[in-house]
Amino acid sequence: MRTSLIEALALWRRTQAPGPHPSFEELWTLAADGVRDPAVPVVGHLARCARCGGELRELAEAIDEASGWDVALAKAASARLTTPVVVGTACGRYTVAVHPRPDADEAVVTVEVAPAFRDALEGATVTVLDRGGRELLSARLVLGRASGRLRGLASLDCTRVVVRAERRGEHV
Amino acid sequence: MSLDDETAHGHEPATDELAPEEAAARQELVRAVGDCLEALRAEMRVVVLGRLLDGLTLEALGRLLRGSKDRIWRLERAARRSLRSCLEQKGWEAEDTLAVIEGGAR
Repeated sequence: MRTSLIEALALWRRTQAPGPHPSFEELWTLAADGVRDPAVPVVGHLARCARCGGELRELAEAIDEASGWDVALAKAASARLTTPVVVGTACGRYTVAVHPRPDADEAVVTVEVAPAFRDALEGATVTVLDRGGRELLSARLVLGRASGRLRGLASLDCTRVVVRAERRGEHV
Repeated sequence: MSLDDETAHGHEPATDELAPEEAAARQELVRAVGDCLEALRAEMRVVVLGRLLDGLTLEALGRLLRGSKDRIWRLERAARRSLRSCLEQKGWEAEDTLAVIEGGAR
């Protein structure tokens, strides 16, 4: 419910100059692991910055959705995809690459599993979703890799990529 | 970072295109809110702003501050109460606050 207190706080925040924004990695760490000391500057920044507050909410929602799933998040390119994008997920388990084909509205999407996790994930079906929940790839991991072709790059939003692996209906 | 970027991210003057008395009232309110927020503990500040402005859940703030949902809920409640009380002590009744934000002078 909107109250005058909310409006007053919003008015105050609109006058704030929060300064340099934390990186995606810092926000991710905040959303996933939190802070030991709430007086650290980055928490003060969150209080003053609508943009970072919104990004933290999105990351927190993604973490909530991922609850009970073996999911990793990564930041990828925000621009329209014209050059290859390679990102490592936050937990270091996957490397996701999207290689657009020149002069074509399609790309090859690959997922590579870090060596330490290969045995555990071999044979599982890996699924990659973009920020909007669009499925970029769903394929079986063979020798730690999976790949597939993706069409319709214009609607792609790779500013965040979610990866999950499951085997016979169970999350790995 | 450009000025456009900063504006897009929420940093904007509080008093643009307002009558002088409205602008002054807004400035006064912003100062009062800032003072009241400063008086809160850091964790109360981030909880109340995260809950009321960013829509963060109790779970999300619990992860951020490494506390239980119950503790975050209690922090939020205490922060809201402190803010309202502080603003009232500065002469800002809820109705006054709303009137200034909607464009009227105090």
